[in-house]
Amino acid sequence: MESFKAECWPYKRVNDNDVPALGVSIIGPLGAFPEKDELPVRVDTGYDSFFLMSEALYRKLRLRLSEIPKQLWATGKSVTGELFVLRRASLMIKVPKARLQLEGYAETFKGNEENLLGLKFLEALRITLDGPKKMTRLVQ
Amino acid sequence: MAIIKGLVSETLEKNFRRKAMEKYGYSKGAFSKALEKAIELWLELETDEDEEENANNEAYLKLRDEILRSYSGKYVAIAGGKIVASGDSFTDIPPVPKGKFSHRLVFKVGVEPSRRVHLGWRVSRQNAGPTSG
Repeated sequence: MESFKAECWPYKRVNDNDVPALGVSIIGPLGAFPEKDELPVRVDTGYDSFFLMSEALYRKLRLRLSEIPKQLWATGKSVTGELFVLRRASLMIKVPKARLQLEGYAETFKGNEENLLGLKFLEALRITLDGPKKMTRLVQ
Repeated sequence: MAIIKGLVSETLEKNFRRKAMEKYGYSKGAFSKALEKAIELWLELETDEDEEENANNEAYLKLRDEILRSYSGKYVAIAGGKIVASGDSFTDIPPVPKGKFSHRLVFKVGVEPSRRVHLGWRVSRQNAGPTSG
């Protein structure tokens, strides 16, 4: 039987809604962010890639110093059919509570203000969403 | 509204016209809508590029075959138009000395992430600003 351990994250408040989130640490070309503690990032299964990052955070982490070749960038499509060129940069994501680190990439586009963890990221984790208690729980 | 005239290959024109009709229907403005969207995307792709970024991407294209042969499965860093580091993991690539480069490529050789991404319900464009800097 699966055991539930204490590792969990409270939902994050976004636009008057409580949404599932995970705490991560981002290892980019300048080192770890945040240096201590973890950054709560919204989980979104509608986004099918790894880590969608706001332009502001992409700039702050200086991810232009770890970009992948332009030939390997992607085109992102929103549900309304809008298309976006997605810049991509290599990074490593740590999930301290899960003692897990994943190599992957961040994506951003002009005007993006969202930070989202997507399906590609979730492939490595087993989590459950506890709606009544508004917690994202890690299943060990 | 402005008129753009130019020459493209017949195959490209045929494919573009077909896709435009599929997307926007067999209406009078379909071709123009698709052309406008194509130009917008191209501009978005090209506008932010600076000299350093351009040099690194050109170096990647030039060195791609050699990189695939010699560094398969490894991380490679290209800066200043040449390979500057390689390693087994992302953390093996050393940080950039302060002020030395404003752009660098770091990628895992042989890994090609999907080129089409569904962004989901959350995503829409806010006021556009530069990604670079």
